[in-house]
Amino acid sequence: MSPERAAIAVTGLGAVSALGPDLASLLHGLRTGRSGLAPPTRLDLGDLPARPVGEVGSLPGDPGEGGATHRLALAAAREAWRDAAATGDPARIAVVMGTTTGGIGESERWYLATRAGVAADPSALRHHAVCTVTAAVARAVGATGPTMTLSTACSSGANALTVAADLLRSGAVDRVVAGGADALCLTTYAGFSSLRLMSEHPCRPFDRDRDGLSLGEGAACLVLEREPDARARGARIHALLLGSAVSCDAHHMTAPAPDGHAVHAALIGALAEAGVAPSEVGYVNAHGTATPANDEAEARALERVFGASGPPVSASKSFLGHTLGAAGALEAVITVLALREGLLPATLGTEHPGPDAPRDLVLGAPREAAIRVALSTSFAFGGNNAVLVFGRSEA
Amino acid sequence: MSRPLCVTGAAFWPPAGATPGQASPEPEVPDGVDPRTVRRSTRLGRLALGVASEALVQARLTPPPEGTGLVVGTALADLDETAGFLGGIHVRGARFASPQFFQRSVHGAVAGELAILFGLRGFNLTVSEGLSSGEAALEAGALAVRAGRAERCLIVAVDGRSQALTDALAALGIEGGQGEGAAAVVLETEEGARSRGAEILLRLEGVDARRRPAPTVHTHGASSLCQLARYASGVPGAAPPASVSVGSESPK
Repeated sequence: MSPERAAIAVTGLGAVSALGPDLASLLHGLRTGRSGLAPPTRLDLGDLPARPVGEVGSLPGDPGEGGATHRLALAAAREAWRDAAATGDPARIAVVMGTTTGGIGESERWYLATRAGVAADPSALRHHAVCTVTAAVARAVGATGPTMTLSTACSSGANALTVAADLLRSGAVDRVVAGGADALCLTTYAGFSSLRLMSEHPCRPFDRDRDGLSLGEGAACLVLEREPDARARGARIHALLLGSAVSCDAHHMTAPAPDGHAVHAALIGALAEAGVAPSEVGYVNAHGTATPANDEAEARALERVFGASGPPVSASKSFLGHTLGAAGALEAVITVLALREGLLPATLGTEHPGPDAPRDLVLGAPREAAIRVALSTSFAFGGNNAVLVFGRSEA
Repeated sequence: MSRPLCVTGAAFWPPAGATPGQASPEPEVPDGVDPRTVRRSTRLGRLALGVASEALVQARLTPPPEGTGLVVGTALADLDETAGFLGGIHVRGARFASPQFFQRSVHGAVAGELAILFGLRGFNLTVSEGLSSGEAALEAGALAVRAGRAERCLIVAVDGRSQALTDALAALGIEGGQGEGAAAVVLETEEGARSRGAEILLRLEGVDARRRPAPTVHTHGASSLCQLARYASGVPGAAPPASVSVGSESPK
């Protein structure tokens, strides 16, 4: 089979989130329905009120490895790389990461201290640029192939997987470590607060009383390779990335297009690339931020594609918060776990689905279901929309 | 088999003949653009708008049809917007943080703004690879067109001067001036360009996909795309960047 037509195998998974420092703790949290949302402990909020966030308990790794986002990314990448148990020519291993903040958490502390006339160590500024996260991951896994850093805000992690798949199908590389990472910082906390998008409660996606999002932090990485290559080396294949698509609302910088037209286009495009009919989709891991506008537009687009009685839908931000540049990758990992484990995670906190909510919202407890195809959706500032289609790997 | 790609539109800023180190006037506001939009935009956004518009006009894609993707490459995005946001927090407190500064501080802001202005609803990415942000954008666009995610891609690279960066560089003890520039190219398949009768400025054979060195904060991510756009535009003495392979025939 030519590289251009090969399915893409997911052979490594790694995750750090508010549910714990690794993939096992993420899966355990999803199984037991434990929310990771709580008042922040590590973040200096200034004069802002404390809202529930999905904070990682203690940062993994060593302060010498970079800023908080770097350390989250490195932990997820190392776990995924170990899981893939891959070897090969380092020059044919690429790293594609999505991040929104990069090292801004460290830069903002230096900037505010300096403005206040307090001496501060500027060395952390060397980690400011978002691409330093990707470079750090490449060094950690020993990759010397192409690197690319996607910074499309909240869809960054999902878009990293699309670029990774295209790199593999181009034949330029044999393996890609792809994912997303973002740490909580004052800039994003105050920014979303200024937009009046943060809820004072743990977020309630698709609830009739939803009133905003909960922020979070974390990282997730996936090791991707062409399916024939993965099978040839006897790798464990967690799932297949069958297709993906990217679109843009071209409507507003921070508000989604109400009719969900571009989301619909991304859904249709991703399904077409995957060669999958809507009726074959057994689960949707929704973007589901719990802002009134996002959930309404997303539900409308899903209904347009799947009809009134669509597949089961859940929103993982109710567990993890909105992890921004990491969200698309973390939710891709959760979608892969749903396929592999036959476990559809619940949507926490939602007690009264709104009239605009997807009909089959998974509530209360996770649901067991042997599904073959699952979707993950991610949307972002600037109207950027990303959809990923995964399929179960048959042994 | 890879689909042969070509460039059918190219623009760059500062203009040919500009004196290095001296500020050049911003590109003219394209016809048909709402002046209010331009006023609300940042300098980085206006630079990007100027080169993007010029490249689209040259490629005879006004308005850009459906199937036109957009990839923006930028090393540091609008750093002064981030500084403005944090400066507001310093002066007035976090409760009074500015949503305008915040939304313009994200790397994807320029791509979002261009998409709205040109009605680009297709493939849309922002990539950031330090000094190599232009090549990364070109590479991402080429991958997208070859994969059929877009029929053609408007590729923009932009980075501006920033007081915040000047301050940061000084704190780090890094000497030297900052780069500033913007460039845009329209990339499409040769087949597509021929079918619509577009003039092919140059053929793109490849972008160096080797891992690039870890970047520093002292950066000008648009430089390579500026170089490519100058070459594609036939600027005397211009040569393509070493990281980009182009067809052996002369441009135009």
